[in-house]
Amino acid sequence: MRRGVWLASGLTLLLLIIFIAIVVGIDVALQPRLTGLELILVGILLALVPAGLWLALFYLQDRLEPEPKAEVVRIFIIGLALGGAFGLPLVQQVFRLPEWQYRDLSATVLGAIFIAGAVEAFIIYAAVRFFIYHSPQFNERTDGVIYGTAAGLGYATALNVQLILASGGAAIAASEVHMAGIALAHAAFGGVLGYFLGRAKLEREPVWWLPAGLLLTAVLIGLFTLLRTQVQQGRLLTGTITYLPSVTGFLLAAALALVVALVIIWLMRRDTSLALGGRRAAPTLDATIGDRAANWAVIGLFVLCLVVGGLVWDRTVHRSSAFDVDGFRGSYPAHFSLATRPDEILRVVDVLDTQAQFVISVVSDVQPTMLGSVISQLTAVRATEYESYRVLDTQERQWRGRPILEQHFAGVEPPALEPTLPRLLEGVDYIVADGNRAVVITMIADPETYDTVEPLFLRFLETLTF
Amino acid sequence: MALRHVIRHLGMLAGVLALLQAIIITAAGAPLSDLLFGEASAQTDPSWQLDAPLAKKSCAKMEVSDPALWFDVTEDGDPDLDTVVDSYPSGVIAIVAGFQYNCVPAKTTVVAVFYSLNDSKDKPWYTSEIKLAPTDKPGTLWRGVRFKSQKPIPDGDYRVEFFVGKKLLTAGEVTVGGQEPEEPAPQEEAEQEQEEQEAEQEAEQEPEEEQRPQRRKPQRDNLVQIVGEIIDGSTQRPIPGAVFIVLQPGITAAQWADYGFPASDILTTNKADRNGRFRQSGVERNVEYSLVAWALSYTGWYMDGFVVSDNDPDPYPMYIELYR
Repeated sequence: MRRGVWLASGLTLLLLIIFIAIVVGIDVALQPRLTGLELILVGILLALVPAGLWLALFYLQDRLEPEPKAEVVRIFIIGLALGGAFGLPLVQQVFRLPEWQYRDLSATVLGAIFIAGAVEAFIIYAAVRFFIYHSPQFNERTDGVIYGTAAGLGYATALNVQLILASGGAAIAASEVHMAGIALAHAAFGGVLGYFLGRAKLEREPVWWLPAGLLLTAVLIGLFTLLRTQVQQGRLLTGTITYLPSVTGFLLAAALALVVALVIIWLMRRDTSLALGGRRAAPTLDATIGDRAANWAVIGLFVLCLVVGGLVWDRTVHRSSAFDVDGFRGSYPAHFSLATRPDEILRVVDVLDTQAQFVISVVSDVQPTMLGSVISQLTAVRATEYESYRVLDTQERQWRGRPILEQHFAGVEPPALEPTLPRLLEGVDYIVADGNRAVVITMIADPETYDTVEPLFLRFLETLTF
Repeated sequence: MALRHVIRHLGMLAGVLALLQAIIITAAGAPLSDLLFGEASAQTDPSWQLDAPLAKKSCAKMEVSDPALWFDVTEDGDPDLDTVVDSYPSGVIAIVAGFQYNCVPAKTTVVAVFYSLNDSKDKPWYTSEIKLAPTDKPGTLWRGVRFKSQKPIPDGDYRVEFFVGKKLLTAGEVTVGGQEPEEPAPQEEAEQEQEEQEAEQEAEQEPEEEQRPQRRKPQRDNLVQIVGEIIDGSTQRPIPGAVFIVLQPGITAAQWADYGFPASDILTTNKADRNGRFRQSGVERNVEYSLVAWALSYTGWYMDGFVVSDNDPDPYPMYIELYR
């Protein structure tokens, strides 16, 4: 057992709490007004503090039982680099997790396990497995925990730096509380996977051992995310009182780190006593034991997690609600709300996000050859309803073998007296001949979100029958 | 032989009509059917005759009704163009002014200017530009004003002026609060009581069906404005585009979610600007509301039992922190 690593971790938690108290105190007392580049630089500096503390304390504590410090720092940097270069882009740009993760509880949990969790766990695994695992320096089970923690802290630092850069800086106290929590939680996740790596390297473990470690780490990340969204759901601040930053997330992360550390210590003590009692094969220095099969199994599991994550993404984004109104059947995106008006067949609105609307209405007594008259009617109504209304283009098309007019339009939202900027709206009408009536299927959206909403509208059209 | 001749000529006539229609659609954006069946269309949809772009543009001069007309509005603030009013009762949520015209020449743009005579007679309260499609048919042009939040129009006198270019076309004034909402007659009250009792009985008979709260009209004097900012709790930075929703009194956030987020349960909704700020009118003091805030990439936030008390300021300041 390496006392240094546990002392460093425990002291890091303690010093982090003291550091946070100091930062919050300074922020409340001095209320520094940092802007622009200053704010970003201070934020990045604060993002490095938790990892810096752990590394510094580890260095001080580990003097008597020397572990190459450069290797620990190197794994930290590799974790940071892999996280920033591959992990975060994969989660945020490729799978677009933040855009759909909070739509419902199952998406929150499954997205966190199979995408965010799996990616982070694999990056920690890759940082240790491919950069230090075969080194002779990796010669104790605790080494797995040390390097796993370092890689986890690197990933956490990438997350924190990205938060600062994406937000254009952050308030000092609130961001430090948040970033310290992130660092503690991800260090703990790294420690868990590191434990599995340490045993895989130095004991004869079955092929499923490392994949099990990866999966457990990913599940832990998912459960932690779920717990955090349940206990930290935002808050309302009123009046002019100065509020202290919420520490709920930090306390949760600290508790997680503490529990994980205690569990790992207990496991390692048990392993040692089993080995000493001869009930388990003694640790070996043979570096080839972490075999290729286990490595391929981890890679396979990672790919499988991403496939499952992709399916969850598809299910969440394309989940729909069915409708059957006056002979019109179909389905609209499940996160849209019903807002049908008396003279319409259906109107659904994306109340919580884009405010986009899909509308179905019917114009009676229109012969198929007279579809153009519907355009005039729509123009007449909208010219008065909208602050400004303009038809952008109209074209004749066929839709499911029926003649239709497709009309693109733009307008400024209906007049209102609120002192806010009027919203520009963009839309498209599908005017479909249906016997002696015309069916008007309309999409209205902000120009900014039009491209996001259009695929949903096309899917809505695909499902529509009448 | 004669029949075939007639059919051939009818076919040709139909072809010519179709060709004409295509030309007119292209040139003027209006189909021939409007010329032939315009009246019928106008009857099936009254709003259609307001300023429908008809093809014929033989109008030399637009004659309009003077003074301007004020139209009744429904409870939801929609105009009732069949009823002209002299004044509006207190609590009305929209006022609608307009005029009737004989025809509309090409390239006619009308500017409507509303004044609140209680605040400033010189400073326009609200202006709006309306581009009219040319037509040789008479119609009605209207423009209404209201708050998005359905806050009642304050009591007082209002004036509207309609201009074409710099020329004043027509103008008119109206009073809001000039008449009290009609008290129900004793017989109506009895009927209403009976209906309520029946409704209660129905509710008793069908206990498994949850009774949804009815909408109530806010009391104008009790209304306050919320001035808020939605921020990221981790960075304290604003969240542009975050949505702030006040639900109808009596609807909790959980109920709203259970019902499938229907728009009808929303009292008011607002989107934060680029600085994360929003202004929300129409919230009544001493009434319990449920609030919801949501933004992309953040966990949604809700709060039941939000009350603005008599001692709270107007506007009421509020910060909402959201977390990822």
